[in-house]
Amino acid sequence: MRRENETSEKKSGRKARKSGKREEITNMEEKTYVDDIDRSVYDIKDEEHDAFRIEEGLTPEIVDQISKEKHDPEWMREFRQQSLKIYQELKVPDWGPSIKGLDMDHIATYVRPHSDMKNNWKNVPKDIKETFERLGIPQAERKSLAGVGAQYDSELVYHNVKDEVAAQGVVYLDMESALQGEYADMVHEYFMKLITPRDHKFAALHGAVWSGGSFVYVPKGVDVSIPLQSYFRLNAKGAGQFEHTLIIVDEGANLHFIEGCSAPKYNVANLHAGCVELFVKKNAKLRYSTIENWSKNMYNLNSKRALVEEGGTIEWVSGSFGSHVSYLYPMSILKGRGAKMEFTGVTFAAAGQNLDTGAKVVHAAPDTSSYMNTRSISKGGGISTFRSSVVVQKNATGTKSAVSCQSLMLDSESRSDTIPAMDVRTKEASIGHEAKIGSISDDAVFYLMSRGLTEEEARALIVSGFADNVSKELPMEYAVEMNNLIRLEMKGSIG
Amino acid sequence: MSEMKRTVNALPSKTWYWLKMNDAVLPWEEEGGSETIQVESKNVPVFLQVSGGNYEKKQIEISTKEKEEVEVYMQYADFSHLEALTKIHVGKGSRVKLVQVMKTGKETSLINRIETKVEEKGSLELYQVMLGQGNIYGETLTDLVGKEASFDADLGYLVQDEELLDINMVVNHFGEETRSRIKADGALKDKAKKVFRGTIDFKKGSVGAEGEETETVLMLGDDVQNQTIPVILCSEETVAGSHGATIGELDEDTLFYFESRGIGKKEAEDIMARAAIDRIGRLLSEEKAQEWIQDGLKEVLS
Amino acid sequence: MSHKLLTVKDLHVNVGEKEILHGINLQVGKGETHVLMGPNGTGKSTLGYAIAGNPRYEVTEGSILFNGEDITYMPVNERAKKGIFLSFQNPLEVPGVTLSAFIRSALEYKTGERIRLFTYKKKLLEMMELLNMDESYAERDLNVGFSGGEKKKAEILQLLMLEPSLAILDETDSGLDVDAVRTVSRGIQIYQERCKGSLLIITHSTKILESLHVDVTHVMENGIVVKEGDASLVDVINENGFTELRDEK
Repeated sequence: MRRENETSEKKSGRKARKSGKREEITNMEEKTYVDDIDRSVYDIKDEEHDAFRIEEGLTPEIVDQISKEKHDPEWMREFRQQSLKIYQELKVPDWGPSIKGLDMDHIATYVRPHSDMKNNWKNVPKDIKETFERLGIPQAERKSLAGVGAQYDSELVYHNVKDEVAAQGVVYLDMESALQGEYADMVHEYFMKLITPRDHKFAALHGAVWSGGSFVYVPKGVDVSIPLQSYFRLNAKGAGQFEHTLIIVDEGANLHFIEGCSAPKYNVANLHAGCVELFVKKNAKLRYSTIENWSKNMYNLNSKRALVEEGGTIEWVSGSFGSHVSYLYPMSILKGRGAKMEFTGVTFAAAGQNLDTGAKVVHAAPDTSSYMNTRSISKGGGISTFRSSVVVQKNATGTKSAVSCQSLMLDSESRSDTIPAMDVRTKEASIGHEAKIGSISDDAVFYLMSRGLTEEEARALIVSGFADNVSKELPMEYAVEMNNLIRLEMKGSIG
Repeated sequence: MSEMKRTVNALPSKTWYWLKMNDAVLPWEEEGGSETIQVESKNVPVFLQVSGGNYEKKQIEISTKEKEEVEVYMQYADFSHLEALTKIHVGKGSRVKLVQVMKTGKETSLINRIETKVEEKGSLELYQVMLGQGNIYGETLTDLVGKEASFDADLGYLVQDEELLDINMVVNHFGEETRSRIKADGALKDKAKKVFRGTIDFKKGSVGAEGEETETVLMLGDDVQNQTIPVILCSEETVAGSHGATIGELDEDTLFYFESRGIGKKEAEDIMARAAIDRIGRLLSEEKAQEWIQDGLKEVLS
Repeated sequence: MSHKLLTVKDLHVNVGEKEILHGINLQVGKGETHVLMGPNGTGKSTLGYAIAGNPRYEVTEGSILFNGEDITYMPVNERAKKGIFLSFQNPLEVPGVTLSAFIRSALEYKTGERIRLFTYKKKLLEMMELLNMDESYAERDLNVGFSGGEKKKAEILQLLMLEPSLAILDETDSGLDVDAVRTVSRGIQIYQERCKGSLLIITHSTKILESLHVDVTHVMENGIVVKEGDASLVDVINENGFTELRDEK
């Protein structure tokens, strides 16, 4: 019997794709890394396209200006312009937290703040400063974190790290330099081919105005001895709002990359639309750890995606603590036989926060596996939503997938929602899913109190323990920081 | 004649559009007539045949006052496109048991909806058996309004050939200490497609509520498609909610157990394909319902 | 010369990459009761699974003959139809299929004929009573929520209903209390009397053997058979454990 609710895919506005060559690239229709995988997986449906309209302030002229300042190669300038066009076509998502607070009509101001919006230390909110104090952030770092300081002298540390791994042949550059030098062609081959401007409105925005970020290339067989950390590369202007991270781990290599830090990152222009593209080649392994603690006025609309080839592994470790609104779903495409994905995450939504986080995975090859283990905590009116998708294509025989999500409600002001989805199209797959929601057990609190802890301390300890799925995967100093952060959040006095 | 469309089975909290799981759209017409059947509490079970012509709408109303018990058994047959809406009001301390056995004809469409409001200490027990052979869209919306109101649902299905089964279950926990349990098990063969959306919503104030949802899908055909979204929404601290889903083919160990008793793979799959439905048959004490189920199974498996 | 029911010849079996059985030689005649003993982890269950034909246990060398027929690479269900039965140490739960329906299906596939419900039910309940099994278990989902003892009884019930010519019992008495062991033992006796079948009882304790007639005892260690004897060997092991035997070598 005919399927009544299958509508035919209309790809509006897209010309026939060109085949193959990546060298002469000037238009958007070139092949991306995901074309051979069912595009409908993340095609935007017709209904999401707005009528064509011009965004106030974000004009092609402004984009050209950005391009010129960065000394972009011509293809990048073109790319930015195309992205801008796509940005103007796409609609703002309506299935998640409201982003009404973002001034979409004056989006240009997020990119080019007016001179009178210049930030200085006096204007940084008091609670941010207090948090720095409580977390023991060194003075020198505070201005940088608050987006008002000049280059932080962690540049020195960054250079030392860079030299150490350079000895192994690892390339670790800022994105803008990478575009110019000997890796320009490589960057060109990969840049926004995994997360394309068509994916959603803020990916398109990113494509148009991206700035800063890291480029990492790990050669074949290299096991990078120390974790690379992007924290050392904060710069004052823009404070990493639209930064682009591109990491390529070549065959058989191994890398651990850590992004973010527990200290809140503040910026008066409160939009973060970054992009992280990870390419894990045959039999390579990449662990990507993040602690995100954007300040509580921020809209964090991040896109992260990994493409994993045969025998490769991607491990995501993710702690989301900050921002006013978050949309964050690291996505993994398991493209080669035996590719593997592991996702371990914790999300803590406190007062005034609406954090919509989770993960997505596409099984596009045989014998692939995915494991998700997430915990979420809601407190003081915070809203936490776990949103996920596991898609198993017809050719992905032998797939194994297990998702486990747990939610902890700390009071009745808060909200916790779990919206996981599974779409399985082969019988030769084994898919399991479980979710639980509950509150802190009174018995556990009583037990700890009977050993001398105050109620507040007991709850904080229990919540830390609940978040240990992530803390035990992080390097020690990050785990310690994360637990400090939880403790402060539990005290309810973080800004 | 322009083709009208109906959108049914919408998720209360939608997700990414590209998944195409937020709701179901089907061609439908509002031309057909409608009929309402009232069922009041009796001391004997009520048996209903639900059938109709083309695009007809049947409304079945089951209402109870306080401390009453009703058992209603519905069998579906003989229609091409039918919409059945069962509206249930479970009064204080009352118990309603509803059994729906759906074995529809090939090339038919059925929209089967149930809307229920359960008062204090009331309970709704729902048993649904879905055997195809047409497309079935089932939506069950249950509001547990009063304190200690409860909802138990057991669903069993077998989807074959190119049939579609699209389910949307929503349980809203309003009252304190309300309780819900949904178990949906079944098998997909050939090119069947099945969508299951299950939402447990703990509203603010539903202190002490408990909600549980489990789904087991046995995938037996080379071209089957299964979509599952088990959703938990929560605005109340002191609740306990869980859901679990298991999707896949007959596991190795179970298969070996069958084979060690001389039952080959194909035969084992046939036995397991109807297992969920047989199980529901055993839960029902009413012989007539068991007959409907066994006859239905015989017909669809021949 | 009497034709042996089961002949295992120089059998080497791998589980994954590892070889567990290093050349087993063993013969069971018609109507005989054999006991296979040995310390834990020595490969006894592996031999049972290999004879039953579990695909996870790979035969790399050697052969298995049943009634003169080479079954070394025969599929599991065909071996079962020919009359081999394996009773499991940890029987699996199969929700949705009742104990009664499971057994009836097995019988129907074995004989290729429809079973008359009335006759079947009668025999089933008769056997259940002999095993002190409450009749309600017949309509319960197979092993779901059964205690350890009831699971083992359910296995023996299957044995009595399917009437195989060779029954391999894998640690049937493990985890059972005294009464259950007695009941299971009784069930095995009934099988011996009614079906005159052959038994290969795998065990590392001897309680279950106390009231059974044993023809041959095999002792395994590290994947090979190290000693064979008659029923008296069981008593020797009972008193002295397995170390004595090692010292003897």
